[in-house]
Amino acid sequence: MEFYNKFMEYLEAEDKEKAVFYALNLLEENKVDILTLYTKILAPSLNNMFCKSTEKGVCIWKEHVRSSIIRTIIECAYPHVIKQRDKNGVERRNESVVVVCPQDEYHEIGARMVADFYTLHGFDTVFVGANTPKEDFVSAINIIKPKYVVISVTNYYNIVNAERAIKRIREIANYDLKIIVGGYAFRANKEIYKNIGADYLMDSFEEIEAFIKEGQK
Amino acid sequence: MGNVIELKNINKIYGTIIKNQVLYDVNLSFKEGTFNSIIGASGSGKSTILNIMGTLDKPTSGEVYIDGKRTDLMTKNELAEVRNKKIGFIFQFHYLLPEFTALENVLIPYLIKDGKAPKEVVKRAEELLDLVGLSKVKNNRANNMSGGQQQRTAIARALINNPKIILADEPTGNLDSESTDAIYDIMRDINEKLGTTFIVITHDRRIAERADRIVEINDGKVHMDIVR
Amino acid sequence: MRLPFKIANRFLWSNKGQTLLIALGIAIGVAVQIFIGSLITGLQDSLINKTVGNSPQIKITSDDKYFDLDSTSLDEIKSIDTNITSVSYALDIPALISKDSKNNSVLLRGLDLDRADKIYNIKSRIIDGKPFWGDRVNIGKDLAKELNVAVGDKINIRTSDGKLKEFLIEGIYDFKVANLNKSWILINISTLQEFTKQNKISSIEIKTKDIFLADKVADNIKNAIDKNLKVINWKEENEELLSGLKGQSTSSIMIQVFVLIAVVLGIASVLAITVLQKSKQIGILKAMGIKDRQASYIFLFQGLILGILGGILGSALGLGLLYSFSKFAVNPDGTPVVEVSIKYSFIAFSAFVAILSAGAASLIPAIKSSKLNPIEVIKNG
Repeated sequence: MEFYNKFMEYLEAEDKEKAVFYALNLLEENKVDILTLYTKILAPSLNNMFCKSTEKGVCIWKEHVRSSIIRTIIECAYPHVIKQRDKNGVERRNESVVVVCPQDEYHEIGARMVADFYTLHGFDTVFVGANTPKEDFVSAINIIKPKYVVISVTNYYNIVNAERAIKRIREIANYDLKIIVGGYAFRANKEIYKNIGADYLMDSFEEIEAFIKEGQK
Repeated sequence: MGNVIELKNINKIYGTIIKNQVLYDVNLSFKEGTFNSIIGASGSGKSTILNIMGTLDKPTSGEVYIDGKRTDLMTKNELAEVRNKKIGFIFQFHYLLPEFTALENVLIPYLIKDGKAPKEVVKRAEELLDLVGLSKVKNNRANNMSGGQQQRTAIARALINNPKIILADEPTGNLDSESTDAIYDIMRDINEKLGTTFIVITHDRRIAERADRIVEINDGKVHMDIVR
Repeated sequence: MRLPFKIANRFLWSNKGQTLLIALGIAIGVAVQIFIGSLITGLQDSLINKTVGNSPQIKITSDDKYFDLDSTSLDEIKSIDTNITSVSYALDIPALISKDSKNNSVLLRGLDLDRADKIYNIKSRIIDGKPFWGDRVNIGKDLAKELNVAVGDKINIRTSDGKLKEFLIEGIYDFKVANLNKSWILINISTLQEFTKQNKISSIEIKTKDIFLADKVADNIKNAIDKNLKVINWKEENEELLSGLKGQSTSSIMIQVFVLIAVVLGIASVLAITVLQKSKQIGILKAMGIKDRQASYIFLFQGLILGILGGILGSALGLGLLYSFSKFAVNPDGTPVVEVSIKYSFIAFSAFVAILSAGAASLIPAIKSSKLNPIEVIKNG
């Protein structure tokens, strides 16, 4: 894909200015929509970072720089998300979604993308952030009363923390709340979501879309 | 690759009058050459599992296979031999013999096997000490070394007989974070270079999250079993 | 075997103070044993020596008081038993001796000087003058003092049947027994026979190599000679002394046994503590695959090493003690109070027993360590 290759060029050069402007221009000029930008350009660019073991130290540093570039793009894309939702004529539902990364989970880009995705589909979305201690957000559950809580886990060790968070949410929530988990950590552990008390595992935007549509019926 | 350790329906009950069951029908197996961590709260039974895998403890019921051979029915002497040849132990409290130097400590598992260490084995012990970064203090008495140095010596000692399996119980339990990272790097390095299977009990998430597989033990059962 | 020895050695030397203390304990035990043993043996030896050393251990006499000596039979008697070193014969005649107005009853002992010397060491007992010959006699130093006579003086001797003769004192002897020194007058047997017109003899006297076999030798002689003759040995005559010595030996053995028990208990208790001290090490060795038997050897070797150390040290100490005792505990004339007998075989035996009991003492800790379960150590950190 032409846009992806071009974008990767800037990203690999760690040229923040060019990369950010290139991505935002794509949206502004309506060359791509949010979904395409997220799923076809940003997500693959993050997942396709291979590290040669000899340059591990440099590699982690590069990963951080690129993550930061992509985070900036996602932040700046928010007006476009709203614009696109309105343009698509999506009705605001009176339902909210809370998106969170469990304690010690610092990989938040996926969660941000997912949050925007729910926004696109008319949800009131609350992105709580990375590394959120469970006590900090469970207290808000009964006030916000989200329909779904989405927990994003990248590092597989944090499945353990996700489980604890889910357990706490279940204790606090006084209504029927659905918990969705997703993220890189679950790729090799497809069945584990049942053990940790989640209701659904969603691995891709397509699955989320299908799920939302299912829920609308 | 095959399973180098297999536990089948392991139950462990301590005490005869007041029975205290610590393991319930545990089934676990570990593939050769993998780096695994076991986590769980204290008292969850994770150490008991490790001790049963290490043939230091016997299950009340169930079968234990080490490198394809059933060990829960072996005699004490046969078990000693299995431990000597197939398993290396690394404990939280390094457990070196303080009366001996680092190099002598590393050689002890070989001496248990053979009584006398030929030159090439001594050389190998020196190489192992080099691998764990201790060639400078190899002639220090064990009680003249820092905690991190002692633990690295223990790792070299665990490796001298080329075991298939290294069982480590909180190897970084009382080390600072810098030593912890060094110990992890050494263990991972050995895992990759020599293909030794590692099973590491740890509270330290830095070690756990870098393992190929995390097994969480809770109340004597395998609660979660996740892979990277 | 090699590794347990190496570990045992290292365990011992890593705690030099404790090791030396136990070794010293064993050493003192061994030293006491050697000292007491040697002292008592020396005491008994000198006592027996004093009693029977310079006298015949076997005597052949007759109920008829006097009997004929067929001179060839002396050699025959000697050939009866290889234990017989010398055979002599004597004629004893009781007599009275008078000097000035004093009368003393004495025993005239007619002897063959060369033969009798092998039993009584007469020649070396003479403190003044020369041994008897011809008409010249030897008298004891106490008698000489009582009669106030010296070498060269003459004395009148009268037998119980009235024969009287004057004899010249050729020498004065000291048998170190006042009784003998007072009563015996040594004289050439043929002179005496001529004097008393008595051609018979009163006894054949026999000395044996091992004095404690005297009873056996006496039995053999009894079976070989004329049934009319009586054979008596010193053991029959000294039963009281012997039972006294036996009691002394028993108490000496008791002392030695208790010293040994103290040593064994000491080693056992210290090693038992060492097992506790080293339980961590034993546990880790077992986790690394040391077999129970090898683990128990560690403590067995520790016991043996301590035993050997203590044995050597104790032997040296004991020898030193004996040496200084014989050097410093002396009579005014410089001779030792007790002639201690230093027998190397006994010292070696004592050291060996110490090593053996050290080994035995280490059995309990050895068994304890072989039973130690590594899991206990690892669990309890």
